Amino acid sequence: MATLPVEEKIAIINHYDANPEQALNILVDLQFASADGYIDQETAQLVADYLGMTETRIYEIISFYAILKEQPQARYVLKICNSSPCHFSGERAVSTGLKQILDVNENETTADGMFMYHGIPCVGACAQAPFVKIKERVFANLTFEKLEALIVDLRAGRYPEL
Amino acid sequence: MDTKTPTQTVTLTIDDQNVTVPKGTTLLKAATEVGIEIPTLCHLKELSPDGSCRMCMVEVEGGRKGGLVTACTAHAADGMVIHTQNKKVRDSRRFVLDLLLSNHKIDCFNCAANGDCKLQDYSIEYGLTGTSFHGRRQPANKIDHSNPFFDYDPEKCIMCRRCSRVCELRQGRDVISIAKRGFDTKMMPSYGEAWDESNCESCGNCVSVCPTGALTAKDHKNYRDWETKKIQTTCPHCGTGCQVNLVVKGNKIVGAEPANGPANKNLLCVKGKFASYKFVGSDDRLTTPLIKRDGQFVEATWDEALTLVADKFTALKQAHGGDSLAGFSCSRSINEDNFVFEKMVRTAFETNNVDNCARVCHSATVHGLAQTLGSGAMTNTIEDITTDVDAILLVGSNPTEAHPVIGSQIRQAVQHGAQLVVADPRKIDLVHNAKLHLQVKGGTNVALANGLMNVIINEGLADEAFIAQRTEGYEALKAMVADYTPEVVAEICEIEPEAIVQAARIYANAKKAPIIYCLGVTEHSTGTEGVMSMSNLAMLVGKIGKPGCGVNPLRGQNNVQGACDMGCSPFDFPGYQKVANQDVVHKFEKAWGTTLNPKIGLTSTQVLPAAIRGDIKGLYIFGEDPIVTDPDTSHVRKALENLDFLVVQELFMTETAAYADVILPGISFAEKDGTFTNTERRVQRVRKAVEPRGLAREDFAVFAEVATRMGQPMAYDSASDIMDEIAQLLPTFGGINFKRLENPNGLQWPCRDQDDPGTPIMHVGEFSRGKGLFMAIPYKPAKELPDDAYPYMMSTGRMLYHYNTRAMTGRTEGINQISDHSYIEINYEDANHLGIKDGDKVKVSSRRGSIETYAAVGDRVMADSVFMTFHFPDGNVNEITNAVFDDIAIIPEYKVCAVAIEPINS
Amino acid sequence: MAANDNVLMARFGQYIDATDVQAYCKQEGYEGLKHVVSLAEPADFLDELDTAMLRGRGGAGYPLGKKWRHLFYSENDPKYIVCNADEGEPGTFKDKALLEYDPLAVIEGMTIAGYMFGSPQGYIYIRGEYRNLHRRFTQALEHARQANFLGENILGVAGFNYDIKIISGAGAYVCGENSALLNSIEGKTGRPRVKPPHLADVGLYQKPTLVNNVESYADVPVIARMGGQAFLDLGTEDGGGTKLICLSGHVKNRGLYEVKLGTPIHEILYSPNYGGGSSTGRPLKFIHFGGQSGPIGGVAELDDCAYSYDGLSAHDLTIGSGAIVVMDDSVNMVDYLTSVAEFFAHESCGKCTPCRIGSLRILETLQLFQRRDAVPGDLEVFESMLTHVTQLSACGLGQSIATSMVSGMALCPDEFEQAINWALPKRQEVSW
Ligand SMILES: Cc1cc2nc3c(=O)[nH]c(=O)nc-3n(C[C@H](O)[C@H](O)[C@H](O)COP(=O)(O)O)c2cc1C
Ligand code: SF4
Ligand code: FES
Repeated sequence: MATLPVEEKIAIINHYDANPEQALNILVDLQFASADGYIDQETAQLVADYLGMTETRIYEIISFYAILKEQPQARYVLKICNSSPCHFSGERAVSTGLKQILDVNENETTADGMFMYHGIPCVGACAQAPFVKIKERVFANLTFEKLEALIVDLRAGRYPEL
Repeated sequence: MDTKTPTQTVTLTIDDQNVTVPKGTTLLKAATEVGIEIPTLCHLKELSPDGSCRMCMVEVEGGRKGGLVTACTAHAADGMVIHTQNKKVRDSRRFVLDLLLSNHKIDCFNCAANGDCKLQDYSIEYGLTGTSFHGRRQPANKIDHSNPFFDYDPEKCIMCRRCSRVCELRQGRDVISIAKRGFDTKMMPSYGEAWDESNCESCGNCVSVCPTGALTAKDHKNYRDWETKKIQTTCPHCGTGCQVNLVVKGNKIVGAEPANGPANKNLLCVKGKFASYKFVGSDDRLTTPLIKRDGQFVEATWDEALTLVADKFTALKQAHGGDSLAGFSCSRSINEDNFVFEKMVRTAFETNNVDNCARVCHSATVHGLAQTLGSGAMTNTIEDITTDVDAILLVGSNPTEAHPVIGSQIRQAVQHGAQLVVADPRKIDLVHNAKLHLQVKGGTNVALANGLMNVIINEGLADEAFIAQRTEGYEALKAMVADYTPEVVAEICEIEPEAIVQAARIYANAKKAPIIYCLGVTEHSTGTEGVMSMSNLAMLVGKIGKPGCGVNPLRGQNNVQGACDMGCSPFDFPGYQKVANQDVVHKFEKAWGTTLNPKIGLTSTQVLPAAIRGDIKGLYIFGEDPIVTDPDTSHVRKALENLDFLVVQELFMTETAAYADVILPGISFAEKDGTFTNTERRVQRVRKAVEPRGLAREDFAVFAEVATRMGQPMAYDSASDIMDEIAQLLPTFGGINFKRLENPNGLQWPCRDQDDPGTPIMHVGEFSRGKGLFMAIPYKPAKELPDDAYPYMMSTGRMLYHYNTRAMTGRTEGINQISDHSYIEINYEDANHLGIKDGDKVKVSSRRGSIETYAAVGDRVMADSVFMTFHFPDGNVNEITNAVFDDIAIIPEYKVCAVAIEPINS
Repeated sequence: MAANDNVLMARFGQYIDATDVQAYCKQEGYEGLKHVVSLAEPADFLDELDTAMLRGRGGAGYPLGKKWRHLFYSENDPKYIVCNADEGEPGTFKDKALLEYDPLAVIEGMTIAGYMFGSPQGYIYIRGEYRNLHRRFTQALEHARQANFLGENILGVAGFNYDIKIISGAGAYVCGENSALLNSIEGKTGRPRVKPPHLADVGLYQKPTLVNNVESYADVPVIARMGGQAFLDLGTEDGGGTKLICLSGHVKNRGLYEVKLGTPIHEILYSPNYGGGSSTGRPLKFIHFGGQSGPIGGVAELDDCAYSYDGLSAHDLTIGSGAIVVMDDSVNMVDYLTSVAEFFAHESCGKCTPCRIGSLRILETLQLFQRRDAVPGDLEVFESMLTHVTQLSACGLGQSIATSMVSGMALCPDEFEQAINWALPKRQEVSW
């Protein structure tokens, strides 16, 4: 997370009044604001200091909640719901499709550092399966062609908010 | 008085036995009442139930969902019928064990915990020889050997969470957590860092509670539990008085484990757990008397040595009078040794020149509190001031390092909602837990106290009724503090005026709030006045003589309270009975069948200059090392060199011992029976765990023998006999004897007779001196302040890992691995300015000398201030500290002196 | 059910801006709150809730009236109001819709609770995957404040001071468990707490706390407005009102619907107003009710069953969260349950032994069945494992892993028999 200047980190923490009740909001915001998409130990310590908690508790939180990451992530992480409603509605086609398009296995980052995909449990978009989710955005009712187009678009920077 | 509703009880049946317990009792506890043991893995009796291992399942007849509940969490209810051993229960326990074994490295033969493992015990009890599962196991993990004292093997962890809960909730350090989730759950320091990279301070409490071989002491490799016996005794380090079990194999101590003492409740610090036993078996123990001949020590028989000692002292006494002799007693040794030592000095030496190291730490407390309250000791108990309090005022005390187990309990108090106010020039560790840090300039405690009192009086927060009924001298105090407005005090202390107001409010408004203080208050040229300021404060708000309140000095050494109680003091016979009082002298003359010198003696800090002057000619030092511990070393050296005859009784060849004419080998706490008195006036047993080495003898027997040879016959069969004599002579010890001390809580003096349960809280209803005395004390600056030549204000203190001269801790390898050299804490700002980086070698000088040490750059000290510990012979800080004294207690001003610092470029 | 009969979705899509308080008020918004505030005895509303027979919509179906009464008479204060918007049950997305399309209804319900219990503070815990709803909900809260439906002296009632905070989750299903949720709000890791004590006595920050589901709160103003009896009449004797259902899987019209409790399941699956039948052209085989923690029923067996609490319980089934996951006959039960088991193994919080390790052992055993590597005796061992994990687990998560397994195995025993290689020697007996 060296990519995010410390003042910006502090601004995010203070936006939530450095309130421990908002620990998850703070951590997710910090993670989303950083290009490498994870919380490093230094940032965890910073959050801990501001929230009056120990780094250990912050780390426990980071390691517990699935959205929070303790390792650098690819630029775009494509999340595929693998809970049963989606699993039996074309999930596998999406993961095999992505494997084919990106030529990496689940949880591996592409050589250019751009992409990674992995399964996650239900995100409440069951009626739109198969889909992928990137940050907070759902790309619904995918086909192989749509998936290919999405990757092209992402490479081209068509979704700057992601 | 609030009328308590009688506790409701419930009656239930457990395995066909009826039991009646208070409502809210867990089934686990109820079962214990009828002697039924239910297996547990995650349960820790000091903490609320965790309910995570699910081993303690029992069946409630007719209960929901099969009726299985965890005994550790379920509450007993009327009419319940419980089964703790039927098939259903046993099957469920087997299932839990089978699951645990399916993810556990089964390596019992190689495992240090073999024979000391609950998983092993229960597997045997429930007939499991292995697991029936074939599934995934946690990935092979490297064992983390990085901590100097213990190893962590994640593959043996059963995720009971005892370690992490102890670390977070009892030790208050919170180094390890149960991270991740599901099957991947793993106990580790954050981000999986190695143990030695984390902020672990090696207290080892996690190791003590680990039920398996996941966390094991490195030393545990050397023994199997069944080869050992465990001896409960009192820890030999600080004044907390933790109870510890020494693990003994043959005649060797191989480990230490926390015991459930009243002061520590199963906690220990790194010193207690890992550094309290190695020195006992150290190869460099003195094992035979030594006599210096032609500048060389040569071995001697006891008879030779004792004859020489007695003859020399007798000759000096005859030539120059008893007052030419003196003795320094050992506040690390047992009460019984101290008692006999001072008795030897007073009767055989015929002088009151006897003192102990309290002189250089807490004599100000003894004098200050005796004058204002009538008794110079902690007023309340450790448990009382850390369990249920609303605020804590911590002044000049760094318990995290100097009294670590009290430090943990203060952190627990904060976790339970107490507001902590720290007044300390340094950003000590507890500042992290504090509501407010008053980072006062060194030597300004009296001003601060006056400022707090000014606010309290002006805001109408004083306890007028208490003041009227129970105290005297208030008007003078009130008039005096009127000048100490927050603004004036803020200027003196170099803090914000608002902080003074806020601190005063927190303290005064709290229902229960103790003052806890330590050497930051006493080790000043105004030490006694600083102490009196503390009692002024407490009396002003009526927070004394009540639970959760009081004035609480933390005494430094394991038995410094006892050494003072036992009369190792030039002013006091045992029990603070005054030498100045004729009746007291007569009482002791009668008891000891001799005539006594009625003249008040010299303090240890006066004896040394007197030796330089030639007034003191013979000195008997029992277990002290003044060259290292006393201020201004070169002047100590000069004093010792100038003596005609010096006897040192010691465990090791110390720097001081090197100056002796005769060295007598002493025995350590682990080799003797006796008692220590901890900081809360609690007399606790010391028990012999191993036989002394070589020719070393019981210390009190040596003193008795010297006295006898000097014409004052004395003999004791045992420490217990000595305690009986103590009880006869000290009204406050009247009810104390070894039989009663078998009670795990020991006894807190005053304990006047056999029926007296002891006194946890002093000054209830009435002060020991009758009325509490307010002392109006104006602020005086420290005697030596920084100037252009010596621009930094230096203070000294302890660090966590070492204890005083390191005679004990320095013989534990792991401790030296963590910390083996002296250092000086310097603020970033000053370091920058001086061109010094962290770890650089620097020269520190004062008007008295200079030393070399290493810079520890940070923000613990404020700019213009520096701090050094006093543990290390390299860079011994006392070469440069100031031997100016407080006029009342004659305590040296260790906490303030002016120094200069320069980098050493190599 | 005709759209104009809707009580929960009535305002969906009717606004330009769902956070607009004026527009909300024009469509019966805040009438419920006003009614409750006008009652001489707040306790009277508890009777109304009892009459309405509103059962918690989060999954467990515990009657709201009972829960509220317990809290009402709990003596400690302050009391906290918490809305469980962690919606993590796979196949469930109804709370998301309420938060998105009618946030003020949820706020109104929580405000009624705030009034009833004299609570100073409400919390809504929104799951991490719904963070995009925060902005809208924040705006709704802000508008409610501006209109004095939150803040001090609400509706001019002296001392009625109440506000609501949003708390975010970050991807942990177990945080939907009430006590884990409270831990998570307190800034701790969201692992469940030990019980007793009951949360109504010792909840958030050790204070009495009410936790209800989003839909439950949204139903509260409906009851206040139309009265308990009218609400009851929307449903059946055993559970009043309507229910939001989430159709997913192999039906044509996947999505969110509001149905009266008591609507035939057949209609839900096949009516063009609802599921519209199979999307794959293959016959529908089974339904998984209420998300992964719920039970599985056969489509054929449920042909004349009503979708109601009592209707389903006659078949040992439950409504749960309102998820209705429909699978066609291409789905083998062993495969389906393996997928369910994966979910639980992923979501176990890891605190207690039976769930931490047992959830994985269950998954592994199902994978064994999937590979046809199971030996005779494995089925019995599996069943025993399920019983132990259910009985020994500390919270609702571990306790409900077996629900789908047991019902699914009962439904398709042959598919499990086929998973066993009968030629292999029998498995050694286990000690439990
Ligand atoms: C593992 C687990 C997850 C749960 N997840 C949710 C959830 O996402 N949303 C919810 O409302 N209730 C959830 N519940 C149920 C809640 O614990 C609780 O019963 C509900 O919030 C109570 O509200 P209600 O009475 O209004 O239904 C879950 C329970 C468990 C054991
Ligand atoms: S049952 Fe599972 S989720 Fe619940 S406490 Fe135990 S491990 Fe955690
Ligand atoms: S001791 Fe009861 S669950 Fe662990």
